[in-house]
Amino acid sequence: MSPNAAAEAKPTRRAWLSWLLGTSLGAVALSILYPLVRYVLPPPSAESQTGRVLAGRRSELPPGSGKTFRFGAKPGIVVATPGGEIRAFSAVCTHLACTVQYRKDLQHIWCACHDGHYSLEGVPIAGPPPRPLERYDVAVKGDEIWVSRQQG
Amino acid sequence: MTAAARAAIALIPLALVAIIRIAAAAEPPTAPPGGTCVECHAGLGGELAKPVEAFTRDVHSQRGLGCTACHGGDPTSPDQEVAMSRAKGFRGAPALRDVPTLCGGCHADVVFMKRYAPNLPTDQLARYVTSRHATELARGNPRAAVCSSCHQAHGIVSTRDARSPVYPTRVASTCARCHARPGGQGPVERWERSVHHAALVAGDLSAPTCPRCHGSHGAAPPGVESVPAVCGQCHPRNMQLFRGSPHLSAFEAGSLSACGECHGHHDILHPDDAWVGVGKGAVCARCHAPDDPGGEAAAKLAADLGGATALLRNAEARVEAARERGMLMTDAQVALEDARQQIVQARTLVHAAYPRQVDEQTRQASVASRKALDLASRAFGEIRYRRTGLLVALVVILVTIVALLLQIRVVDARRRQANAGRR
Amino acid sequence: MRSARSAWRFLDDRLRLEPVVAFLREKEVPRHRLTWAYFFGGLSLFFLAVQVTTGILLLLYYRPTPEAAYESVEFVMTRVEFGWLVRSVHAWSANLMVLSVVVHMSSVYLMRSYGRPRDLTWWTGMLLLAATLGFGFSGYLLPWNTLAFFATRVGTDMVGKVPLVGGSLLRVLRGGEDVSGATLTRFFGLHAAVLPLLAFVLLGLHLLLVQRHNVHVPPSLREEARRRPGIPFLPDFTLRELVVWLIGLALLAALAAFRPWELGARADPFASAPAGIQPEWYFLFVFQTLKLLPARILGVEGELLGLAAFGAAAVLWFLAPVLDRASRRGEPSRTATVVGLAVLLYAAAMTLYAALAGRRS
Repeated sequence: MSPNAAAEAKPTRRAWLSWLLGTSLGAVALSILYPLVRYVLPPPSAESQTGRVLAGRRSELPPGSGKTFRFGAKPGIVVATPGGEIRAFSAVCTHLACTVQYRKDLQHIWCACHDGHYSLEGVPIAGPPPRPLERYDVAVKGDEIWVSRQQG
Repeated sequence: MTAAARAAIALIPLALVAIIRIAAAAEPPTAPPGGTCVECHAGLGGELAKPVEAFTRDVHSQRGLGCTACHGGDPTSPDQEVAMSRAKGFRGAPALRDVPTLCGGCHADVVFMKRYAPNLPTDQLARYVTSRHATELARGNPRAAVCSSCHQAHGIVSTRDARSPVYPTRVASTCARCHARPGGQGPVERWERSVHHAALVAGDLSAPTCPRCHGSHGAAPPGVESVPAVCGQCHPRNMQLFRGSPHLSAFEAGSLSACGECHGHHDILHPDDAWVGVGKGAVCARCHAPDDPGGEAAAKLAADLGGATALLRNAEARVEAARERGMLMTDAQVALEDARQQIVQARTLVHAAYPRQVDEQTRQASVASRKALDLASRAFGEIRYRRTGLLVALVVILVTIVALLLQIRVVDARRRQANAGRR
Repeated sequence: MRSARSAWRFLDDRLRLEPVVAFLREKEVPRHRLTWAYFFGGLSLFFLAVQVTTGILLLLYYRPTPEAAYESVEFVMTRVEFGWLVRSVHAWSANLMVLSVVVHMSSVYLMRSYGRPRDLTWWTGMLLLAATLGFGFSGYLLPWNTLAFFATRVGTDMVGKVPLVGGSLLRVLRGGEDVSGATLTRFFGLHAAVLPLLAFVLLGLHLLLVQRHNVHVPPSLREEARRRPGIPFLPDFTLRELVVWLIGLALLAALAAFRPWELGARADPFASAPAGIQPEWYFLFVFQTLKLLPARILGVEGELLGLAAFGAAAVLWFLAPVLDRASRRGEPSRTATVVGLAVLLYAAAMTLYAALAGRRS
């Protein structure tokens, strides 16, 4: 097709071209808008997890007990001391990264893998653990126990 | 009479001498470090000067104890005849067999030690008396280990000091000075192939070295009956499960070493799932035939562990593959970690030799692995969805570009025509 | 069609758009063998538009605090529908924008289009380049991951080297002694408020000036441009530019789908810096040069001297319209071309060297 022929293209062809152009530009706009609209619609879990996690409820944690919870990608442990104070730590043993647990009979935190013992301050008191457990901040809101990374 | 008892009796007169000497010395032996001993010996050079140099970093000299505390004599006299005279209590270098009581003279004295290190144990001599080393000393073995063999004579530093020959990283080579055997089959060389040595090298100072199982001052091989207790110091759950297992009575009846029978003694390797079962390399097969009840239980344990581990490996590989394609797999990694912990517990439960418990535990591990697998498949589904979406978008864009190019051609042609017309 | 026309009439009545459109129809982009270089300014504009759009969208979920920043980006990447797309496009588009801006700047320099009266255009452009780099540097920290944290620490450290005021400058930039939550808040403000406002004003001026003076044709191409008919800006050039934009869009979509931007590990200020920390690729040539300099040169700290040299070079580059007197008369200058080529080659070679060294380590 010579350029002249293109220029003299029949009105129908020119109409077809502008239809194609309009439609395809519209399709481009749609394919941009579609994901953006879906993005703006809030997802089912409407809020991002901040450093703050619901670790458990007071009612399930009588004095002298503990439970593990998920903190980000790692396990955490929240304990109620025999005096009733709530504390939270990383549950990753500082020795070889097993998950620690609360021992009711010993009234402190214990790692089953190599008999590591931590006080209720998270400080190693016996066995191989070289460092204290990382301590988290605890906020009790009614029945809910909220745990967050320590500031500073 | 046991060897330890014999040694204890042999040491009684020595201990008495020491006690009398301490009782007699109203003043503690705290002649200031140095004195004329150092003045002369520093100038003598060679072997005679070496103690002077080593003693400066010695924990005793730093506490103000001088040469005379062990050697006697008079450090105030410039005259060698007077300073090193028997009349002044000079004893010279103590004989090998006198060393334990010489050190014990102070270190076993609770009242005396309180003045320097109130918290330091004072039972070293009592423990030493029960050791194989003391037995050999009593027998007159000239190579028997005494205090100075491990702690040095003049350059003694705290055991918490990394320079100490009994510091965790150095104690094994100190023991090896006597306990090495040609051919690399000595206990220390075998220990060096163990998982415990690997942990120590990796920086875990709590990893067991020789004294953890043998005792330090009371060093002796643990008896068969105490092996589970010794290992149970760090592996309490395993010990507890073993004690509740049918193996306990069977091993006792056969005089088998509890943990060592499967795990070895010094060259304790990292356990492998292949040890369980009745196949090749399985430790159970040493006693059990495949068709006896124990063999069948072992096969069941092996199948459970093998299945759960294989599933975990598969899940790990899938999650990793998704991660490499840029997907964030935090949830799946949490599930994998859960599965790993469950399998560690399942492996511990093997010590109970009771398939039902292991079966329950591995099932939980597999639930977690399957969750990770499911998340991985969903990630791959998402990847497919993204690629399809991309393809659609690219086609749309391509068509638009073609339409635009056609339009440009039309516009260009029109312009050219207009220009030609103008000309 | 009819509604479009009536809408046009509505706007034209009130805004008097007809003269603008007539101007754009009248205006011609010269046609010669380097016409393609004129597309990069527009391409940069396209990437900027993408950045504004995706940036605003990210603001819907992003939280600029050290406790929540990483988690909120993770949330966007995993829980929000097409969140991965928006964030990946934002990150990729940022890099492509820097690339496009650098090509634009290089071509303008090498065609020596900065001579009067276009010197003001050059200066606004240089400031826009600085803003672009500022966008990149401040945005890099916002996900609060390990790499960004330490790269920012290293990057801001350089500011502290400035004599006399370095310490105070560092404190102002970081909002404290070290990179911390305060730095994140500051960088966020810079990234999402200060720089956009600045860029908006500069860009308006820049575009106005480009329309006012049209593009520049270097002397060597003038003959060719005279011989060939120009490309009318509307619609001919615009249609071509649209094709370029669509190619850019396709590239972004493909990169986001095949290489979603990584998030890495959450920043831990107390952890030790991972080995082989490198800044973003467009700062690599500075980074690598400073690394190669000896610790002390003639009794002065090597890094300080290097930074001073880069500062001086940037000022000289900025002042090209003043220093290159020939450009004002529209005459060619061999010196300017040689200097420009040397600088660009140096930067390219250093970047390549640093990238290779980084890959090896």
